[in-house]
Formats: sequence, C-alpha cells, structure tokens
Amino acid sequence: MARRDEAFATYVAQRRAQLFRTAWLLCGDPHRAEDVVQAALTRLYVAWPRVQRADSVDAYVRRAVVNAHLDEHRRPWRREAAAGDDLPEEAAPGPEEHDDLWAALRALPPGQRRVVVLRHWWGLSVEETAADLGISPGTVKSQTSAALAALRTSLQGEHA
Amino acid sequence: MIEIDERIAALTAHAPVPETPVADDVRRGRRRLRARRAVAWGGATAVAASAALAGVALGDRPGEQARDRTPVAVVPPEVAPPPSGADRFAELGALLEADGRSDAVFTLQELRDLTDTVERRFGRTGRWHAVETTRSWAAAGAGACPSGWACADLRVRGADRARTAQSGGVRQVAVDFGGDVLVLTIASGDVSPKDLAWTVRER
Repeated sequence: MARRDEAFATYVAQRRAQLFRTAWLLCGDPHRAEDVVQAALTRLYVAWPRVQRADSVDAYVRRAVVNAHLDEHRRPWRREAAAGDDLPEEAAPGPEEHDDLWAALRALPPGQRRVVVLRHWWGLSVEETAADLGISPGTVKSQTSAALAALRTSLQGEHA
Repeated sequence: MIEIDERIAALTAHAPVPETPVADDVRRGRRRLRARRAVAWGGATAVAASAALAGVALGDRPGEQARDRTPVAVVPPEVAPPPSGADRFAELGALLEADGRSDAVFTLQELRDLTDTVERRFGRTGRWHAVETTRSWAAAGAGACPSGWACADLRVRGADRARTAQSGGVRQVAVDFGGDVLVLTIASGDVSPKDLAWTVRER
C-alpha cells in the first residue's frame, strides 16, 4: 500500500492543477470542478496498480474526469444541505466572467464543450477524443466543427 | 484553430485552482478501497445466508447505484425454495476467503452476477473447487486456450470480459471486473494444477 500511496501522491502533485482546470472548463464552477476532480482521483487510487501497469494513467484519469462531469450533469438535483450545514460562500465573480470565450464555452451544449476541452485544451487527436468520450470519430469531428462555428460566431460579436 | 487553443490556455491561467493537500486525495482513495474490500470480503457469507432464508435480492455496490433496487417479494421459507445460487454464492465467498493472496477486490453484486451466470449456463453439476484472483488478465492466462480444452467467451453482467474453458469433467471460468480477475475452477473430482487450462502466474 505504501508504494501505491507514494506513486499516486507523486502523480497527483504533478497533475492535479491541470485536472482541476479541465474540470473547471467543463463544469464552469470551481466547487463542482473540485467535486469532479476528487471523484476521479478516488477512482484512480482504487484502480492504481492496474492503470499504472498499463501506462495509461493520464488517459484513465481524464476519462474519469469526463465521466464524473457526465454524472454531475445527469443528476436532476443538487446535493441538498441539511439545516445547519456550513455552506460555502458563493464565489465572487472571477476575471473569467468578463471573458467572452468563457461565456461562449458556457453556451455550448455539454457534448460540444467536452470535445473542445479535450481537443483544444488537452490537445488530443480525434481518435483519442473519441476513445475518451466513447463516441465515434465522426461524431467528434462533427461536434468539433459545430462547436468551433458557434465559438467563432460568439467571438466575432466581440469585435463587432 | 490555434487562436482558440491560445485563448483557452489564457483562460485557464485564471482558474481558481484550490490548494488541496495531496494527502486528502490519498485518504479518500484509501477509504474507498477499504469500503470495497469490506463489502466484498466480509459480507459475502453472512449476506448469502440471509438471502437463502428471506429470498431477498442482493445488490449493493458502495458509492454507486445498485442495479436492482427493487427486492423480490419476501415469502415464508416453508413455502418457497431458496433462490438459485444462494448456496453457490456462499461457496464462492468461502473460496475467495481461502485465496486471499492478491489485491483484487470484488463487490457483492459482481459475485452474485458471476454466480447467476454460471448456474444458468452450466447448471449445478460439479463442485466449485477453487478460486484464484489476480489484478491481471494476462497473468490468469485466460486469453489462451490450451490444447485439449474447449474455450468460449462468456457474458457476465458488469464484467469487462469473461471466458470459459472445459475439458472432460473440469470447467474453468475467468472473469475480469474492471481489472480485478477471478478464475473459478469447477470439477467433479479432485483436480491438480497441471490439469487446469488457466493458473494464475502472478498476483
């Protein structure tokens, strides 16, 4: 168990910030992003020996982040706090709220947003993105095309 | 679209990355691993015995939605026979306890699905002889089919893959639950390792 802990901790220290940024781009909210990252890393810890042997840690945890975001998105409810719980303060608007790209990303359907994040933030190929999302390469291409067209239209408006 | 890539990178520079201690992630992972092991290893025999008496469906997978939440109707034991597989389920739990040499862990639902599949496909002939577990499908050797054996793919609910091998009165079932692999040997009489298609080489 000590070897697993050490190797896992090393990986998390190196990658956690990037995973959070990925989840933040997907969720649009830092608290939900942190929930998504925690869920993904918990799964990674359990599967660590197998994943590390297959030398596919990044791919595994990236998929876990996407799946955790999918699970979050499918729930029709938010976690309900019991009376007396200390609720986190609402986050003050960050500088991203004034960024047109942020608004344009938020306006994309979740599927298109995932494709954009994986292809243009992680830099994955069409095939890698398809594998991560469990969809066909053709669907990745069509969603990428639709997403970029929507982003282009939104961002062109800022120059109008 | 290079501009989009650069703008996304600039956007993420403002991400409010929290300063979460790595130790917190390790602790959460260890807690989840312990919970899985506790349910899979500690509850199998006791829960199977309860199921045999009450005829209630099993199905708890900690932290995830159970696939069959609706329990079957509870009937008095003197009226209804015990559900098929309850005794085998308890046997499987006992064999897993006896093996205990790898880090592989299985949930109650996975064991139940395996038991149900084996009962349904192969009936109740033979004795559930032994179980070996490993964290590697390759280490189980289940991708190969030795000469003299008849091998076939098998569908087990929740499993990434499963295969069966048979030669004479010996049958083996190998199943991969997300990287945790179990090899079950069923035989009418005594079996030695050299008589098997699949023997776990490493844990």
